[in-house]
Amino acid sequence: MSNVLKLIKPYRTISIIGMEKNVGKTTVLNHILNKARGSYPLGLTSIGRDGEDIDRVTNTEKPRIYIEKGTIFATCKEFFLKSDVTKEVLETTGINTPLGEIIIGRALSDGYIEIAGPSVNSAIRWTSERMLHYGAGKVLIDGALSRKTMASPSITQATILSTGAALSRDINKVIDKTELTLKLLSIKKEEDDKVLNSAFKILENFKIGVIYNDYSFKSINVLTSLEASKDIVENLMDDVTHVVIKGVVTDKILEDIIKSTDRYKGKTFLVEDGTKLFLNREILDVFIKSGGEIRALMPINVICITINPKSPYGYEFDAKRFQEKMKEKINIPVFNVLGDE
Amino acid sequence: MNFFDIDLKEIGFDYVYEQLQPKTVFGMEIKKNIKFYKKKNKKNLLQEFEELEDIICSIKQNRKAFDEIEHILYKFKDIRKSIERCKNGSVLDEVELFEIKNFCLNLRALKSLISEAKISNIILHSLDDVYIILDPEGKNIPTFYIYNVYSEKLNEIRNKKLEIEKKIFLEVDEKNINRLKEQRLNLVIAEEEEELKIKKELSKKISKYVNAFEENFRGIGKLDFLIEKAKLAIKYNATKPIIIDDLKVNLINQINPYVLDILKEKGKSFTPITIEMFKGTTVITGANMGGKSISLKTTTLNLLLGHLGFFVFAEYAAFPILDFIYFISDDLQSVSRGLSTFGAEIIKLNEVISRIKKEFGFAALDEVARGTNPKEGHAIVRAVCQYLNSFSSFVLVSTHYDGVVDKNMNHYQVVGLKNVDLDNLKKDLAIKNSIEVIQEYMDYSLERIEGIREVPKDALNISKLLNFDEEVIKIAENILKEGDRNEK
Repeated sequence: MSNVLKLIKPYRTISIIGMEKNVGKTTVLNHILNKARGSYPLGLTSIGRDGEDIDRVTNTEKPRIYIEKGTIFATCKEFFLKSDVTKEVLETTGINTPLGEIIIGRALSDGYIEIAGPSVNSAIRWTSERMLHYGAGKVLIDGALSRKTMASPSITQATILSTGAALSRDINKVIDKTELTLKLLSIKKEEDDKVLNSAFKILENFKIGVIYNDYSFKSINVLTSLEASKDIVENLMDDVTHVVIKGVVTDKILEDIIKSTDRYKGKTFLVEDGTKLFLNREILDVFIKSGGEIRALMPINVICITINPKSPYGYEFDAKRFQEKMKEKINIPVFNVLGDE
Repeated sequence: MNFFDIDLKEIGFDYVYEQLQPKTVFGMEIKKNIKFYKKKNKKNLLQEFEELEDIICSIKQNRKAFDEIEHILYKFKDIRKSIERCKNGSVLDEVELFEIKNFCLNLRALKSLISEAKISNIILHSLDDVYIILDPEGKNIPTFYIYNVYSEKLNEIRNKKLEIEKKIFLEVDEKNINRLKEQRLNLVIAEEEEELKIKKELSKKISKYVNAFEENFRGIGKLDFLIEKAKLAIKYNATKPIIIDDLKVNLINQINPYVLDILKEKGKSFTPITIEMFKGTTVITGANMGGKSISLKTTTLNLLLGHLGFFVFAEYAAFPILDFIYFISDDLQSVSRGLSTFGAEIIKLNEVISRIKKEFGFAALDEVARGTNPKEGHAIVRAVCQYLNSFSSFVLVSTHYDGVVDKNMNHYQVVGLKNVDLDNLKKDLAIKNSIEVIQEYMDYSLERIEGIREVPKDALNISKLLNFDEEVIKIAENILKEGDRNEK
């Protein structure tokens, strides 16, 4: 795993996202913290979850992390005060979460902290900027793949995807799922600036919209993107080049569209980023093979995958075999969190 | 916000109010609690005008200093809860101490800017003593932690803790690491205990300054809100009202920012409204579309603002302090409460009449009783005008009913289309084919009428301009002539 540090070297903001609980995300985090020790202070925060009550937030997985003196971290006030490092308050951000205001602090000793950061992209971006301002050499953001998270790893320059045996007892299923997730996350960015411009304008106030071949666009008023397929189908005119969808895109939306028209062929569907795609392989394949295309407004740069062969449910995969099999399917580096290869 | 049940949106108050954007919670608090000055508080009202005038003067002379002041104001966090807790003997946590330290730092900057800008009405107490408590090493940076210099014991504990942490880092044996971590945990507990002791002491020391903090909250809020009021006054060229003891209201060239800005957007200008009222009833008559309503709303708005300690949107304003200000129209609010327009008006009107009998104030009646049958409506309006004319309150009535004005009432008329060449207007109308042409020709200014004059027949003129059926107009004109003859 020591190569992970080399991989993240060019980037200032790095997110680590786990496909499930217990896939070793915290181990990765701790590993980086450990390896970076003595070289430069790190900044740390996490992507919080929005709209959940305090109980739910408290009960979700939040890693207790052992950090080095000098580390800068952004967490909610409650966790800030609870941390057992000698702590210096650097800034109160005015960003509020169910667990209190986000505080940026510096560790004046080693010790344990718990991290619960902001839940909105702009707030995480701001917090990261501030940590860099206070001298962090890199900012690590602990994230998750969930429909409940509003914020996304697309705000970081690089992303590490953590997966492991916790996903399924069937090693092939784990690999298959991971490969699909990687594929969805790294979906290509739309490159045409004029299209991007129109798309962002649609998303300012609306959930969906279509862009025409002269870059003009039409916003469509729907309550949620989940029920949008009918409106999308109705608006798939010949001169439409792109369909813009805010938020999560599910199997059902694509299925409904595929079933009711073939006008999606040759058109590009734009999503905010790859974390918004919750699709199974079959639907995705049908959609792509029959001429549809999916692109992201903001790209996610997945630089490596970490695997945890151990499951908390009492079984484990053969580490070497797991890693080999994963490498066969995936063309970016794969690291085992439980030891160097 | 509620003053005498006036529809604040309708008279353009909300539009003005929303432009006030205080930078601090202390200023917002004052904005939320604006109060209506009564006669007995005349001195305070006058003082508020003086202070506002001073700030306006300072801003005009020293805009740069005020930009900086506003910049600093943005930085003040709401530490009221912490100070309240401190007052009650609670122990402040590190984040609270950090915010208090920053408050002191920002206050220092604000104080020096205030003296630079020569603002004399705002008094802020120095909190440098508190700042020194929270910056024991004299580093002069805004961050905060429980500094080692607070206690020798803390210093020792932390040094030991650091030593063990070094050992933990170098140790490879899991067992040894666990043993060291156990030792570290004991030190963490000792550190927390000692930190708590220090936080208690710091909180106690700070609690002696609670009054200074609270007075500073008020001072900052006052400054913040004064600046907002001053910016508003400068933007619309508002004037300091003169408070008089005579039974007279004089408002020269008033404007209404709400209407003004709407017209401006359409590339049109607002015709300033001049109105002079003496005790009793003042009636505004005139054409439909002539802006009678706007005259009433603007006058109400300005009188209200004057009583709330604002400058008035006029070139000159003089009025006595009033006990109440009312604005009655067939507003929809009361209608939605299940009353008919007319019913709602009558209930409101009754309330006004009973207050006029006992107190001294101002009431604007915008086309009251327009919704009921004209014969009775006319009688009611005329009776109200006549009856209220004998009291010392100011009653400003707009009506399109004829013959409401008595000899001893003030009477204004919208100039309207009186001086317009109707043939020209008609040609113009034919070319542009828009009803807005009439608005362009309309003279919205008010003209003082001496003696009795009847309401101009602009309704018929406008109907003609809009190509209303000629036959119908002819019949209407005959009816009018007959009616006149009958009256004579």
